[in-house]
Amino acid sequence: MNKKILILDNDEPSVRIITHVARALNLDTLVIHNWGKSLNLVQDENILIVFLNVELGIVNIPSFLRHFPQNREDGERHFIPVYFLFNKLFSPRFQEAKKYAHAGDLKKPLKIERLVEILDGLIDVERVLRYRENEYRDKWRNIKDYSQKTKEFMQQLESILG
Amino acid sequence: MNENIQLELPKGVVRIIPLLGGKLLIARKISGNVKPGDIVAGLKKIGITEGLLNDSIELLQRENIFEMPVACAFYHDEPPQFKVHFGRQFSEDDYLRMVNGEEIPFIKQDLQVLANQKLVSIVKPFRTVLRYPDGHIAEKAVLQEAYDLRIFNGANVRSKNNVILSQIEGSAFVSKWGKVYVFPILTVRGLGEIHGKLDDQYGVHVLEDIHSYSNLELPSSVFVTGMIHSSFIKVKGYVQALEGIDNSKKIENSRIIAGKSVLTPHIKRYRITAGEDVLVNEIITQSLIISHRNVVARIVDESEIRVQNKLIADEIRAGSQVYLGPSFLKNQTYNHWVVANQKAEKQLNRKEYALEELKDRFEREKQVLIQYFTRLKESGQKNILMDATMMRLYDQLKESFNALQKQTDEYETLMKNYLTIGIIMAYYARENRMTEDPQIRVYGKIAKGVMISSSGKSVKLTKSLENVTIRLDRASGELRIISHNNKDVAAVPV
Repeated sequence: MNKKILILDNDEPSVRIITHVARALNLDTLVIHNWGKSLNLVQDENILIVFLNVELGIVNIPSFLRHFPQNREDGERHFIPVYFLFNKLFSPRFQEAKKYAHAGDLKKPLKIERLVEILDGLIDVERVLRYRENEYRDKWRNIKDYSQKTKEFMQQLESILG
Repeated sequence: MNENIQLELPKGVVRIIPLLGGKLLIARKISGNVKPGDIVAGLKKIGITEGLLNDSIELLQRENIFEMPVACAFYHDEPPQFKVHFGRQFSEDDYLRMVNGEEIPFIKQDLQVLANQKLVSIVKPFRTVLRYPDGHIAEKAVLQEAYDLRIFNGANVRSKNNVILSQIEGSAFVSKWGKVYVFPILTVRGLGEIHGKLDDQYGVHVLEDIHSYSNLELPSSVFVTGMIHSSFIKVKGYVQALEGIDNSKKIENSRIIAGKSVLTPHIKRYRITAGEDVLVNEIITQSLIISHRNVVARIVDESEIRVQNKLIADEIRAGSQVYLGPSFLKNQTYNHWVVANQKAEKQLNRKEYALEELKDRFEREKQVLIQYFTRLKESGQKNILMDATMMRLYDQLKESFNALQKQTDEYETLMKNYLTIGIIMAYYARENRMTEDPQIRVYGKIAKGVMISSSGKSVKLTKSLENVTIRLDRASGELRIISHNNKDVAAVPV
């Protein structure tokens, strides 16, 4: 499964920019407008990075960061960086959010160069780029494995039933 | 591409910025309005043709979006690199000799092969490559057992290890799609209307002329020791007529369509389409020539030439028109392959959904059977086989299993078909990728009044020129004249 970029924002141009950069690099995105209802959904996902618009007030920052701890004490393996998105540098919500540990800030309109720089630091881009033929070969391998397992099951069943 | 490029579009300006070492290209709006079509055309002009992100490009026309990714590198399977052990490759020197009027060699002998002769061998195997938006590739890994060389078996050939061998004696050629064909050659004295339509599985060597109203549709090549008169000829291989191609009778249906090259001393009043070169060592007059590679002729007179790469001539006379570059050439075969590729992918995806449904059904039935089996065991039933419900569940499961196996086999066939079409298209794309700008090279005189058209521009020469190259600069879309008489004269836009 491809890693996902979690976006908590309702500003359409910003969401589109992140989504399209992600799509170009063969990454998936998960856009969330209501954090409270979506918490369970997010827990099952393989999240690579989080972009959170702190000016929207859709999340309580400290409790949100409990799900994505930004101190690296838990070890690098589980670290999911959270970047704060903002429009106005002196907006009270952004100033308040800045007090909490986070990976960085991105001012809108988002600059793709900066986004790509961040993603490049997190993943080996060359490894995730699209390889359509291989995607089909992987699917075929899974199908073949499943087919083999069903064959073995049927053989076992036949031997039991005589 | 490693540097920013400013693209001047009809209604605005965008800057193309390469990121990640040229793997990702983004477009930033600088001024004006931009239309997706203009951006794509602009990108193609500067050689960005691969991995275009059309959905993202589309968004750039919106006022609240200032930058977007426009192209990204991707991996794909690369077909093998072949060494061809027969035939003849014409070099620039050969072209020059033809322009000087030297006779074109009879290629029938070069294409003649014996049974079990090595025709083609692999120099580089099937491999994975990373294709950058500007078309260049980085080789990544060799693909082991992903493909069978038999993909490139056309007719009457067989593959063994890394070579393709002929099965029969005959005339061979490698198509633009990489397929290798050998067909026996039928030698006849002459051909005419009386012979009806010839569409058998062989090539033809005509010792005298092909007379008017002949109709040939062959999978191989046609070699004529005499002339071709006012006939319809469609072949997958070469057409060579040693004494010329002439439609003096002005018969409308006279046409030659060759998958490979057409070679002859002169062409008069004919319509000719060639998958590769049209080589003429005397004159092309009052004809329409469409070549997907180069046209070489000593004299072009009152003719329309549509050429993808190069037109090389000694003289281009008044009344001629030259259409330069790939935009004037339709490639129906390629379009068929594109459609076949899309169809194959659609079928594959459909089969995948069908398989998913079957998997779900099988798993459900399996659970029901296991639960029932456990219940029977727990209840102490000795002869489970005698239980009617158990047998019904088993039969149901067996039926689903058989359907699943059948769909799995079908998926494999469809996947192989899809990958095969893809690799053949990749071969075609590689062999026909333009490495140089399209150009007209005239060693002698190009007359006043000759019309030259490129994708963005049409010009009529207001004075005759001598010893010049007229080059279509793909980056700017401009036609530039380079004079070879005076080396100091820089390229000037037309």
